Amino acid sequence: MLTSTSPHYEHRITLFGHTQAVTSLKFSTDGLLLASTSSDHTIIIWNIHTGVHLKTLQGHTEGVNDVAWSNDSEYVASASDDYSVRIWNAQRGTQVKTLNGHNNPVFCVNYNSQSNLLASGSFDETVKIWDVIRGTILRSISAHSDPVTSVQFSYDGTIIVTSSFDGLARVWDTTSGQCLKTVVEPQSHDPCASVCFTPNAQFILCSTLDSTIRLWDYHTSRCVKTYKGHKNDLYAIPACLAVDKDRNWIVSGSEDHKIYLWDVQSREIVQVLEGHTGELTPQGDFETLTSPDVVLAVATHPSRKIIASGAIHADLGIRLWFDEPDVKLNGV
Amino acid sequence: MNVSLLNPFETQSLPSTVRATLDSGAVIARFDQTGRFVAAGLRDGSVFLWDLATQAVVRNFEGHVRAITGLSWSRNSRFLLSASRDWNVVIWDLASRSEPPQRYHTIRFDAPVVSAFFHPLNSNVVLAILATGEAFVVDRRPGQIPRADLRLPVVEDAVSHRVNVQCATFSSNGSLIFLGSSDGAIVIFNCSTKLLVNRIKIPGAGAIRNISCDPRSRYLATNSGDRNIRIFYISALLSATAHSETIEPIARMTDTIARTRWSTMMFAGDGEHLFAGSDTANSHEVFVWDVAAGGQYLKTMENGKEPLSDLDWHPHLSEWLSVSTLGNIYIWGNIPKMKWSAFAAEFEEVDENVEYVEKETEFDQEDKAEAERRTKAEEDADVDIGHPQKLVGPESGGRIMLGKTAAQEAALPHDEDQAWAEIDSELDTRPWTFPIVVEDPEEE
Repeated sequence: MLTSTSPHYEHRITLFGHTQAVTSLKFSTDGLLLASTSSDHTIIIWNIHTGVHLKTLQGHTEGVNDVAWSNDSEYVASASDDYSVRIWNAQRGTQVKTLNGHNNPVFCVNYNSQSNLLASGSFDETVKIWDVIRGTILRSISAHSDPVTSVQFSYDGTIIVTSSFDGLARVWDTTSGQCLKTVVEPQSHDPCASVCFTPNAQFILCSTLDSTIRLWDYHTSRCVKTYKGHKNDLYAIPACLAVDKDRNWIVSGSEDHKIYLWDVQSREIVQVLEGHTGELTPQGDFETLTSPDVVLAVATHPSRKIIASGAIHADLGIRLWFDEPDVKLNGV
Repeated sequence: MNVSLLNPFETQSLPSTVRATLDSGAVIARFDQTGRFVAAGLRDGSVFLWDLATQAVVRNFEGHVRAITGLSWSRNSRFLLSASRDWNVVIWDLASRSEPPQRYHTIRFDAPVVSAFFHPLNSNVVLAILATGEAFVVDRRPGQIPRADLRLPVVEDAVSHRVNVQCATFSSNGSLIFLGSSDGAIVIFNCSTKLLVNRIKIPGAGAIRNISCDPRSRYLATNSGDRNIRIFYISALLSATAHSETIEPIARMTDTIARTRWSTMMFAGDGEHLFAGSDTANSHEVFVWDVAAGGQYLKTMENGKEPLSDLDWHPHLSEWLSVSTLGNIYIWGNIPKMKWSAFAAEFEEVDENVEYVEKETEFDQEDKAEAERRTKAEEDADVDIGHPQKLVGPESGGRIMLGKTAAQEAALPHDEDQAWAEIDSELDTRPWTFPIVVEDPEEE
């Protein structure tokens, strides 16, 4: 059921800079910048209008798994395999704080909307809540029995949702650190790759390694929507929401080099973006890949119709997909 | 609006334990309109801003040289007002990034300020009470009376001695100003016209020590020198005439046994409760009454022996803070009980053992095609996942709008007083962000 408002994203910009797998992408809160993390130990800050590589944040001694922007788009926090979370001034490109406390690779990190707290999830199976200003641990929650794959605050910061390879998604009270709810698909206990709140924090969107994304009403533990069609049984590929008055999509990467878009309500695939098929040779030329790459990192722009995607094997150019008229071209 | 979200699986009740203690040195403390911050005023004139989520000081406002006597938050918590015995009222802008914080505005008087308040709707209007017993309304907007002196009416039987303003409050919608006088009268002024509306003498009550208006502007409570707290209908106070018989309170609260004096009292954020702190030398007690039940006594909460100096109710949670004279701020709240069943997906807690009755269909195998059809039908229903919410700065309103839905709010008469109050109030309604400043080691 394709309606007139169905998406027409097209590839417009490719950002080259990383030398190893692109693991995570995040648009800044003001929508002007993009942060990308990579196994090459760096975070790169890009200008999404010009595609200019603005800053490289160097300091992590292992690969970087996740990145999060503060509400003023001035700072980013990054989670790394070197067991640390670091806070950077993205505008200046300097490191301002190292948060040590996890004793295993840190897999995910997120700010609350006030940006005075950070939550991080790790392979040490804990979720830690940090005081951003002092850089201290406020609370450490033994959240799961397997690595924690994602952690997110609700928009008002009062509750936190986490997901883990143990197949569970849990909702926590921020102030007390107590578990409020556990959500699991009863038939399968496939690892949870990612979880996020819907904008009103009434539902959680959870992707599991049985190539399925589910929308849960966590109050009643009821699965209200199921999205299928992509391939995801190995990597923690996040499912993103692109929702406002004329966007209503769920966006996810896939292990077949594509990006899938579903309609939130009808659950049908409304567009498939094909990219990440080539390899950048040292001469700057493309070579088509023989085996499909994995689109691990996907991000949706907070207000505009832009999707960013990144792959992990050979095609390391970050693609920016637009579903809006190209102002720049028209202007020329 | 996040009350239902905060802990959707538990209901709220009156707090009975201290969940956090802030060692602040404060004599006065106020929650902001969102409940995110606590502003603490010290005897040496400094004002600290505490972030409750991290229980750390996030700003230090240095602008006074003598004790802080009053703190007030603007409508959207962007501005904080501090009043001091050094004759000044200083307004601070929390959206400012300057470090150390600079004064946004200073209002100078010619006597120590004993309390000061922002107008509930407009931070350009400030009500201040001086140690000389005078009350002023300062208006920083162009075209308005810059400084209006609210003079108590001359009463024949009071010519022999000077009558002072002891305490004051705005009505929660900001249209009226209530003054409590040293001769035990409530004097009401219209905020926009600065005209006297009424004066009601409470016989036998003695000087009014403090005065509070409930969030919906229905009740006014007074704490008087005769150790009684009285609650009046504001409508009755407005309609009472000088010749009518003395107005009877709808409720009168007192500690009949110990005859405790009340250091301070105020309405709770829900408007349903009134609470007061005892003014005794060796106890830290908070008394709570149910306003709707005609001032029925509910309970007394005790916490050690440090005398209590100030109280404030959380704007939307069932929490409050109390300040001891030793400078500790106690945050009272409910620590939720750990629900172990929340850790398992389909567990349920039962209070007593129940015999499980197996349902007839419990282990029936559902036909696969049938199950798929049912799931599909269920999933076809639209769900409301909402739109991205910008929660930068609190939603307009805060405490004053509490208990009203947006529809009720719109149905309210948009009267002249409100229109007057909303002139030049953009800064009080515009979203803003509190800058989190993380020190950059390379900068130093």
